[in-house]
Amino acid sequence: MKVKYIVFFIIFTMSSSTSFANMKMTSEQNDRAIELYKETRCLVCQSQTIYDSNSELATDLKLFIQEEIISGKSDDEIKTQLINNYGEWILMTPALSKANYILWFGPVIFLVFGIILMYKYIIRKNN
Amino acid sequence: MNLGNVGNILMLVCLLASLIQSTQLLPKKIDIDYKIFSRLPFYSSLLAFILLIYIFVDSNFNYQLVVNNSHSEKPLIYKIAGAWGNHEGSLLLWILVLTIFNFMFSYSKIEHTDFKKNVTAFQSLMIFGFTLFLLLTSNPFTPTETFVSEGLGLNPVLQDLLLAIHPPILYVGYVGYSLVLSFAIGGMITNKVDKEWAEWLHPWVLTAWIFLTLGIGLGSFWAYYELGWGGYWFWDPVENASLMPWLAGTALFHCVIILKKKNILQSWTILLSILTFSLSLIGTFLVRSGILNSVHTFASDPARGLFILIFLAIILIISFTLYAFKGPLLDNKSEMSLVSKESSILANNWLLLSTLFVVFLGTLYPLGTDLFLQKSTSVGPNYYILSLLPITVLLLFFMIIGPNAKWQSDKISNIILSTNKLFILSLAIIFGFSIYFDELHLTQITLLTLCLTLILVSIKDGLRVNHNYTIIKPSLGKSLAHIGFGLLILSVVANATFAQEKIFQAKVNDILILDDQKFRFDSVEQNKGKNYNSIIATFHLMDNKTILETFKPEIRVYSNPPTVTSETSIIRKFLTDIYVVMNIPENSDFVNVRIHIKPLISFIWLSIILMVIGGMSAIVFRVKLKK
Repeated sequence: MKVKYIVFFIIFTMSSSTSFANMKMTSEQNDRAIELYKETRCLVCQSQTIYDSNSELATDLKLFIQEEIISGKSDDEIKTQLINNYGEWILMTPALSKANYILWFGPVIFLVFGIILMYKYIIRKNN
Repeated sequence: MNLGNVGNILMLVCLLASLIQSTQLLPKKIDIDYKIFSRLPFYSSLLAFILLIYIFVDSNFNYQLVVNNSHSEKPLIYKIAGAWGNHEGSLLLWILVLTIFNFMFSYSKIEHTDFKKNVTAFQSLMIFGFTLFLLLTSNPFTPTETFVSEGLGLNPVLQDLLLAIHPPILYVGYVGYSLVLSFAIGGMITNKVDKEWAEWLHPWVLTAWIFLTLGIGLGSFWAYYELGWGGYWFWDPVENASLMPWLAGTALFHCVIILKKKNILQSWTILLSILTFSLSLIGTFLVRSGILNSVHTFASDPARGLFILIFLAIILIISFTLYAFKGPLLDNKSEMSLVSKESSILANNWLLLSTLFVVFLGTLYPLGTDLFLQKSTSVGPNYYILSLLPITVLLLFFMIIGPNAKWQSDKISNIILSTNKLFILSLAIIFGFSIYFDELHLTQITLLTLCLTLILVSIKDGLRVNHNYTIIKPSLGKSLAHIGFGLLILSVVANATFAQEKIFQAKVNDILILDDQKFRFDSVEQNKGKNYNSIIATFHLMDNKTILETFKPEIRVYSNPPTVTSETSIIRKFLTDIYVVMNIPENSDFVNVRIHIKPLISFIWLSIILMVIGGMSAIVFRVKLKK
C-alpha cells in the first residue's frame, strides 16, 4: 500500500458520508451490528472475525449486516441468512444442535462426575 | 573459526552431558559426579544462546535463520529479540530454560542425594530429547546455501519491546513445570512423596506459576495495545495453550500446600504434576505444528509437531508406568472432613480442572469435527464465556469460604459467621450501584458481588495480626493473590458490561460522537520511522471549543517484510481507557476509525501484578516444616 496514495484520498476526496449505511444506524443498531461482526468469522483470514479484519470480504459482510439491520431484520434472521450463504462455520458460536452436544454438555458432565468422585473419596476416607 | 561449528559443538556437549546424566535413572548407577553433568548442559547451551544472539546482532547473513528473521536496518533490540522470535531460536531458549532449572536445582540444599540424582537425571533426559530435536530438525546454526546480502526481516507486529521479553518470561513458566515433573518422577522412584517432598517442591512450582502468570499477562497487554482490536483476550488457540498449564499449575500448587500441611493427596499431586507439564508440551505442540487456526501462525511445520507428540508420548508412558507401580502405595490413610479447608481447596481443584476441560474442548473441538465429521466449526468467545460462567461463580464461592475454614474439620456456621457481614456489604454496594446505573443483570450482580466479597474477605484475611500486632506473613501472599483474582474477574465483568465502542468511516474534519463525547478528526500527516513509513492522524476529544485530549493513531507501512500495521493511541485514566485505532479497508477512500471507551481495563493489569506479587511473597514467607 502506498502511503502517499492513502493520504491523498483521506485529505482530498470530499466526504461522501451519506453513502455509508452506518451513518444511518441508531446507536442501538450500531451495538447490534458490532455484536454481529464479532460473531461472524472472516472466511479468508486466519482465526479472525470480520470485526477484526479489513479484508474486502469482511468489509462486504459488514455492509451486508448493516443493510439487513436497517431493513428491519432480526439478529437471528441475519445469522440464518449468513449460514445459508456460507455454512455453519461462519458463526463463531456453534449451535446447540445434536452434533454439538459433546461441546456444550461435556463440561457439565465433567464437573458433576468430579463432584461425585470427590464426595465418595472424602466419605471413604472417613470410614 | 566458523561460529556455526562452535554452536554445533556446544549443543553436542549439551546432548552428551545430559545423556550421561540421564543414565542415573537406571537402577544400576554409573559412578559419576551428578553435579558436573547436570550443570555442564547449562553452560554450553547458555554459550550457544549468546552466540546465536551475537550472529543476529552482527547481521551475519551466512546463517539461514538470520536471513529469514532479521534485517540489517532493524533496531538493535529487535535484532536481539529476533534470535528467539522464530522456531529454531525459541527451541534453543526452551533448552536453555530446561538447563537453568536443572542447574539451579543442583545447588538446592536438599540432603536426600538419591532423590536429587533422580530429579536431575530425568530433567537431563528431557534436555537430551529437546537437544536431539534441535540438532536433527531445527538447527539454528544452519548455514545458507548461497550468498545472501540482506535478510527478510522480522514481522513488524512482533517488533515490540514487550513482545521481545514476553517469550522468555512465558518460557520460564512453561518449562519451569518440567522440573515439577522431574520432582514427581524422582519422588516416585525414591518413594519420597511426602510432606518434605512438598516442601522442596513448593518454591519451584510457585516460580513457574509466577512467570507463567506474568507471561500470560504481558501477552494479553501486548495484544490489547498492539493488535488494535480493543480486546485483551481472544480465546485464540495459542492463548488457550498458555492458559491450560496455568490452570493445571494453579490447581497443583494448592495441592502441594495441602500435602505439605496434612500429608494427604500424594497421588493426586503426582497426577497434577504430570498433567501440568504435559499441557505445557501440548501447548507447544499446538503452536508449533500449526494444526490449529491461529493468529500466531509462527513457525509451523507438521514434522516438528510430530516430534513433540512423540516426546509427549514417551513422557506420558514413563510417568504412567511408574505411577501404575507406585501410585497406589503413595497415599496416606488419614481422615478428611467434608467441611474443611482441604476439601474446599479440593473442590476448587476440580473447578480449575473443569475450566481447563472447557478450554481444552473448545480449542480442540474444531480439529475434531474437521477430522471426524469433515465439517468446519468455529468455537468463539461466547462458548467460553457461557460455559465458564457457572464454574467461575462456584470457584469464587469456594475461594471466599476456603481461607476461612479450618484445617481438618470445621462447622458451616463458623464459616458463615466469618464471611456473612462482608458478603452483605458487597451485595449492598453492588445493588446500590445497579439501582444507580440501572443496567445490571442477575448474573452480573452475582459475579460482581462474589468478586467484591472475595476482595474484602482476602483483605481482612491478609491484615490479620498475631499477638505482637505484626502481620502474619505466610498468609500475605495468599491474600494478595486472591485479591488479585477477585479484582481480575471484577474488572473483566465490569469491562464487558460497561465498555462502549463504535466504528466510524471517517474523513478529515468529521466529528465522531460516542457516548456524548465528541472526537474531531483534525488532520493526517506523513512520517518516516527507522524502518517504516507511516501516516499519523490527529483526533481531538473536544468539550465545546476546548481540546481535552489528543489522540494520534498511526498506520505503519513496513517494507521488510511488506506489512501494514495499525498503532493504537490510548489515553489511560485511573478508571477508564479511551482507545483510538484506525485502519484502511482495501479499495476505499476513508479510514475506519474505531473508538473504545473501556472502563477498569487498568485494573486487569493491576490484578495480574497483584497475583505475581502474591506468588513472590508466598515463596519468600513460606512456612518451614519443623524437623
